[in-house]
Amino acid sequence: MTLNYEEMFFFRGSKGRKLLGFIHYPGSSVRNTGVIYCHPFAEEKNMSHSVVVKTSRVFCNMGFPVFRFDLSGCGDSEGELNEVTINDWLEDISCALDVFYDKATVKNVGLWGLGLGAGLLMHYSFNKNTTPFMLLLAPVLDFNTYIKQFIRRKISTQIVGGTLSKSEPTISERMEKNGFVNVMGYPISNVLYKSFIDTPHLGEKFSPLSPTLFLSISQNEKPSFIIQQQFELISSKSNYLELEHIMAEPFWDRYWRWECPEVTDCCMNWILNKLK
Amino acid sequence: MDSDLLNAIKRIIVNSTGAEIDIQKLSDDLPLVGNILDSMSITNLILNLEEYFGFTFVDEELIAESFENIVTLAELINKKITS
Repeated sequence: MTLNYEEMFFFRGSKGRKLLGFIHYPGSSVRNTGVIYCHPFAEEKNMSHSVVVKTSRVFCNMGFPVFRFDLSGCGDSEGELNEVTINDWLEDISCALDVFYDKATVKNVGLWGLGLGAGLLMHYSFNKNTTPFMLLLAPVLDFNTYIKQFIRRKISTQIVGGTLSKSEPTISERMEKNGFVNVMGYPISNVLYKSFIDTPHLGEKFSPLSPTLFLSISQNEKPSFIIQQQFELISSKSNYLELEHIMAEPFWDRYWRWECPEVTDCCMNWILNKLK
Repeated sequence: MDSDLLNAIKRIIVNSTGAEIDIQKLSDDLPLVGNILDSMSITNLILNLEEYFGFTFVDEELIAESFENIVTLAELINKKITS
């Protein structure tokens, strides 16, 4: 039996940027379906890394080649966060898929994403019927609310530090004046902020054409109201969408969660079930 | 100040912190910031208040003065829901 192996390399993404890619190749019983992973935003990417790598290896052990990559301006990929847009990231996904098909010689590729990465995959796959499945973990459905909430972390930090009072310019005013605002070490430019705001909420227009799982993960007993509402909107029109909820700590928001076997097992079982 | 409003805000604060806080011990004038609210819980609190009361805060309202204690927060919320 041949052992699994992993390859790290650079490839060209949007605007010719050099993006970091990483493929997990199964050593034996290789399937002709691969899985591509799209990471979440900012610190959530770092915090989820361990769980994602472990889950990738589990998929690989099942015979699925897995491709992980860093979007433009993120991780070890070229570009600065304050010079990219949502459209750049959608183009990165397209470039990554081309590279994956080429290098792993797979016939089709399932999409797997977390948080903003899952939201990007929803936009990327909109009206396309080119994937055997989509595994969307805690998807960001509303980019507008998401970025506003992200910026609010800066506001909250300033409130705690006592540096945000009536006499100070607001975050929007500072972003307008300086071209960007630094949130927890991540420079959010006017351009990136606007591209989040301008990204439409897909709502009921998102009608998957292949099996798709919304996997809600939280410490509550039920999925969040927003995911439940989106699921109900879509599932009345598409039989492909399923919703599952796992009661677990959101590992992409916790430095101390290095593994989340509940999520890994759920993803693995769902994919195997869909590809029967 | 309406006690129902104050109690609703207290419940939302406790839920937003994720900490085990006895709601009965939250006095109306207890300083919130740096006492029971850190930056993460303020971010959660803002969103939870918006969801519960069905309005959106504007930047100008999200200042230290608003989060001084439960009364200052209630005054802001009362102004928004009655305007």
